[in-house]
Amino acid sequence: MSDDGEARSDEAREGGGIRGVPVDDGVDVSLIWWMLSLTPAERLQFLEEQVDFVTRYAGAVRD
Amino acid sequence: MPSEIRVGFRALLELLVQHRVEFIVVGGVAAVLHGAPVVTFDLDILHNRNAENVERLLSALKSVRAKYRDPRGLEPSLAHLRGPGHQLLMTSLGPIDVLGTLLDGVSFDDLEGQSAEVVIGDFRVRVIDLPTLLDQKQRLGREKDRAAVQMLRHLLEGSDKSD
Repeated sequence: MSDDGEARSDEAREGGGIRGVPVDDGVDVSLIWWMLSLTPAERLQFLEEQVDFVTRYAGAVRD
Repeated sequence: MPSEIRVGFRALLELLVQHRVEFIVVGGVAAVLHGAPVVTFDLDILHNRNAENVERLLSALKSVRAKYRDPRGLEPSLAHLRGPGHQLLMTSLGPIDVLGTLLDGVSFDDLEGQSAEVVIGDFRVRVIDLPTLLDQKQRLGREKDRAAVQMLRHLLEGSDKSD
């Protein structure tokens, strides 16, 4: 698990107000819950937006 | 991938459906459709390699100017698509990996029973089921799949609990 993940877990255990606590293997389950709240079409749209962002950013850095 | 190409996974899937191509979505896009919060840059499909289907697939691929992603940039042919290999292509809608078989020579016919239809807006596609996708990713053992494997395990555990 990353340092950030451990920090968030500790803070959540201590009632620090963070919800969606990463579990032991580092997976942020709150992201899975959020994805499952979307329809398959919305999941696909989100993926396309992520890929577009990365490719545009990579292009901007290259230029 | 050139930044001027806008990836259209949905448009690619819809195109294949419109051309009546028989295929199963596998790989990262299948993981996303199952609800895994992962990012992938290409669409992987396993297609039925019978003669009629391969013709429909080639027609669909030509309509989006599919070419191999290697520097030679050759176009795929019927012979390529009839074979069991992997055709790694770039199209005007982004990259697509057209797979004749998966690990252990698993074909479209073999996998059809381990897939289910998923509704995407106003069309449907067949998607590899979660246990089989996880098994494939685990056995590939690739570093780049580690995060997806973790996500898929959690999804599978969650679906087992809800059954």
